[in-house]
This record gives sequence, C-alpha cells and structure tokens, in this order.
Amino acid sequence: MMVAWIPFLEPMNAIQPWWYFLLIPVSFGISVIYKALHEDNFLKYWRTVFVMTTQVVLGISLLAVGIGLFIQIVIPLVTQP
Amino acid sequence: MMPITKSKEQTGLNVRATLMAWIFPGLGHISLGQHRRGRLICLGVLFLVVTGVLVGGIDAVDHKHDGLWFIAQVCCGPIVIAIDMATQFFIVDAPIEKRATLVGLSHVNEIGTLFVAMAGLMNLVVILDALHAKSHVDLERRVKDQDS
Repeated sequence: MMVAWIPFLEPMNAIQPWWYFLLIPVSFGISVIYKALHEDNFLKYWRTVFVMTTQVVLGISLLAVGIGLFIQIVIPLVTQP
Repeated sequence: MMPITKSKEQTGLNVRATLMAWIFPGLGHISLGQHRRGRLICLGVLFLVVTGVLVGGIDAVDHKHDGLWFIAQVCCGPIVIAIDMATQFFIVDAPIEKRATLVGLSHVNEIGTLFVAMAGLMNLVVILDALHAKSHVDLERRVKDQDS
C-alpha cells in the first residue's frame, strides 16, 4: 500500500516487483560521478553520461539474459540422462 | 633540520581537499577551484544516497546489522552517519509493531543498501582523486585563462 507510505522513513515496498528497473538510476548515478572525474571537456558531459548509462544497462541486461538462458536451457540439456 | 610539515608543492598531496571531500561530496574539488566538477560529483553522490534512502528507507544505513555495508557507505561522510543515527533513533529502539513497518525486506532493503554503498565507494574514488588533483584545471578556469 502506497497510501500510508512515509517517504525516506519507510521502505518503498510498492517497487518490490520491479526492483530490477532500479538498475537504471544506479547506473546513471555512477556515470554522473565517473564522468565528472574523467571528462576534461564538459561540453559533451551529459551526452557521455547517457552513453555510459546505456552501455552499463545494456551490458548487465545481456549478462542477465545470457545467464538465464544458460540456466534454463544449457544446464537441463547437459544434465539430461 | 627538516621541517615536520611539508608544503603541498613538496608532497603533491591535497590533504585539506581530501578531508573536505569526505565531509561533503564534491567539496574537495570545489576547494581546489574545480567548481563544475565538484558540483557534478555532489549531484551524483547525493542522487545515489537520496534514491537509496527513498527506496530502502532510513534502514538502508544501519551499522549494527549491516556493518560491512556501512564501511562502504561511510565513505560518503557525515550525511551517512546522520542517516545511521536516525536509524538507531527511530527504528532500533522502536517497539516491534512499529519496526515491522520501518524495516525494509528483501529486494527493497538490498537495493537501498546497495545504492548508498555505491555512493560511498564512488566518493572514495573522488576522495582519492582529490588527494592528487591539480588546482584550477577544469574547463571554466581554462576558458578564463585563455581569455586573459
């Protein structure tokens, strides 16, 4: 229930089923800090931040799909008698 | 006889900036004249901390029950210590019925803790960068130097 939720004091339990979408803000936050340290020219700063965020999200998503396929398809095939 | 304290030029270490970087994220770079870099670091670290506490509640920072995570989180500085004090004040000593609504469970607690820990680890990188950073090297300063 979101009705009685007190932000910052109580956990956001409503987001429990979609927790994996929180990969996007964590990647964005890390990219903001990383690019702030590494960019010499801030003219293209936000563009590089969004590119890095996209790369991290796509990379981890592909890893998740790969590991999921390995567990669901490859391991049952290998372990068949 | 050698003086006990070495100047910044001799050691190449910005001890004051490093301390300021821990006290408040981005303040170390701002003190070195890298205002834009410092503001962006502050934005990134605070974004991760605020989002982490929003998702996991203040229970995302708890040095008693998540001691190892707290080591990473405390690199954010006094902000995290204040959140931990709030956790100890509002949650740890609360009656069990109230604690049940305040303590995060499963993914919400894990992700909230992770967000603040990532903010702490990234701020550790920032602190190490501030230790060796040169003064006044961001774009704003370079443009001013070229104009003058």
